[in-house]
Amino acid sequence: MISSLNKDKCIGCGTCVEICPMDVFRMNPSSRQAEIAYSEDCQTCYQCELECPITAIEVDPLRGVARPN
Amino acid sequence: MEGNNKDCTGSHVRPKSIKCDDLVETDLLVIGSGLGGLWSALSARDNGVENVVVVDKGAIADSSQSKMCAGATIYCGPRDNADLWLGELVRQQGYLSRQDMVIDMLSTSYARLLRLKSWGLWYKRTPWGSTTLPVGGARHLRMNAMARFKDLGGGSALVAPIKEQVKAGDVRFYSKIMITSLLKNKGRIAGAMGVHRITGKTVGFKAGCIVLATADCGFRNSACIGQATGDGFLLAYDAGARLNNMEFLGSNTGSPQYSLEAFADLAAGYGCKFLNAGKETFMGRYAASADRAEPFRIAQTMADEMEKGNAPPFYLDMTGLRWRLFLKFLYKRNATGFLLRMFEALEEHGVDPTGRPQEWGPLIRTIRGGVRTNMDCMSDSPGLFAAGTAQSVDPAGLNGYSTMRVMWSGERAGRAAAGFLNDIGDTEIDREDLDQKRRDALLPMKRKSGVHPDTVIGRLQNVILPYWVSLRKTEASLRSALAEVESIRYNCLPDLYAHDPHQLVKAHEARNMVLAAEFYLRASLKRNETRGDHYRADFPKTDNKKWLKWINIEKGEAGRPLLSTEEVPLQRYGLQPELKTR
Repeated sequence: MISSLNKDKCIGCGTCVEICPMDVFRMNPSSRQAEIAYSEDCQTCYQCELECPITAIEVDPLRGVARPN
Repeated sequence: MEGNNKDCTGSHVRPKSIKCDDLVETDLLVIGSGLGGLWSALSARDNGVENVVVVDKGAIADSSQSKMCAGATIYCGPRDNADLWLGELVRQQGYLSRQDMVIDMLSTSYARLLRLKSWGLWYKRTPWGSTTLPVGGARHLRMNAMARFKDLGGGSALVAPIKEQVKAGDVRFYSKIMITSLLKNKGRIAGAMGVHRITGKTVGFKAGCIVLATADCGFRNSACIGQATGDGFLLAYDAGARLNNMEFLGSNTGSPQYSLEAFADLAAGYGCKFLNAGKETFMGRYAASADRAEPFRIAQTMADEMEKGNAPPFYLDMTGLRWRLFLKFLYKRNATGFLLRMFEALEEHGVDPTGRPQEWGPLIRTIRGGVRTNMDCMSDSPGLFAAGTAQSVDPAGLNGYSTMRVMWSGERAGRAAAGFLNDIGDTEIDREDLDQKRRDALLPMKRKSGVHPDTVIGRLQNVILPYWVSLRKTEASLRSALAEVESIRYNCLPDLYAHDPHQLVKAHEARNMVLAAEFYLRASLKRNETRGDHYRADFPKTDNKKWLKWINIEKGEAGRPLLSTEEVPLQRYGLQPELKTR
């Protein structure tokens, strides 16, 4: 699951907002930085972490979804 | 002609990707931008279609399953034995594949490889000097495994050069727009209605024809497929097209604790073992290939073990020296993207998956079926094409097959769409219908309260994901699940409520998944046998006398699903099984 977005690092490029397949991020119009808006929808695919140009995003490998049981 | 493009998001999102138009006019609308969608757009432009629009509910190409997959692809070259490869694929697909399509995709695959190479794609060689690897579960098939493009690897390396070509072809991109319904006029496709997931604004599309490349449907149980919510299935169904192979639900295995999945077949090849709750190996009791069985068979066997009370938990023992050496010296030096990151992230969190057996279990992937089309990828609804995994070709696939298939269908659909537009000409949209679909798209946001999409998705997962519904089905378990899904459909869907555009899109996704679940359950009930991904514990044998048939689903009276069977034309196809029940 998405765990953190470092606001000290975020340059507001919008890459995470653009590419997240689950639409987890939004840009904050005031700070002009990205923020985690819908963490509950994260599918732990690491795309945001891999694409962030300044490694401001951290994804925890712990899973957060149901399974067959 | 394109309408008046305006950035409706202010400055807070990169404006280049966000456009909101009241009505976008185009010749061809491609919905979805993975390999199938991108190749459709490219192929249509190659064949003379001037106006092509690609719309995606995520980013163009960058949110697709194609980008996140390993990128392994089967290409049948001039020195490969196409007949042997076809035989292996068709047998693995339980003889329910469209053999005419598989023959065509094999015979055209090498040309696509050459084309990809001309754009800069290349395949890294293994330490022993080959660009191809054997396909797991097959004797003859080989796949090109390690795609590279610039500094990219895996699925990203496949998607990026095609996206570059599509961009260079003046194709217009609209991202973050989910298509919620299709428009028809005088019996043929006329356009689509969409909603922007950040602004909540609706966007209409007037189109001479449409390619659905919306992927398939999972139930949010695995990483990298959460965006596959059966959107195209419902769009096609509502437009009058038939679906088939909906009873086949793909599965794999993975860690229930960590995002660590979809490589166990690779690991088993290097000596890793599946263990049950008693820390005993069990696969050898069920399959001759033991731990090296196909992923879906391991998942089904885990269901059998759970039924016997031998699990959960399961474990994957990755402590063996061969696997650790492979992981260190080959995998980590060649894997890319998600496949690499899932191991790196664990290490950063102080977890060594090779230190002791890791808790493991079955995972549900996506429905194998989709839109039934002709050879040109056109559905029963004139002007509506399907490409990628939104289309139904077969009920199963080996590693490297799906990537070959989605590029084939994209190329074929784009070319056929060009021919369709030449033959049929322009279309008109019904303004009243457009306005109604616009209101329908926004309905969950117009309500002041109601059922949250997460509630629907959670209930649906509780119904579909248990092993007795997803992996080891019986008539009783399916009937019980169907009653629950019908209850969700009648009691929750009419009251779906969204308080912002993100939830609005999720409300539409929840609706699509509920309908896909209903199709899955109804088709599963009808197929009284076991074949590939479809395991009926009350009919555990494959029945080639009665069930070399497809189950088609179409919209019947009052909107209810109407199921019918269709004989697979094996007499016309070259390959047939021995007609006996095994």
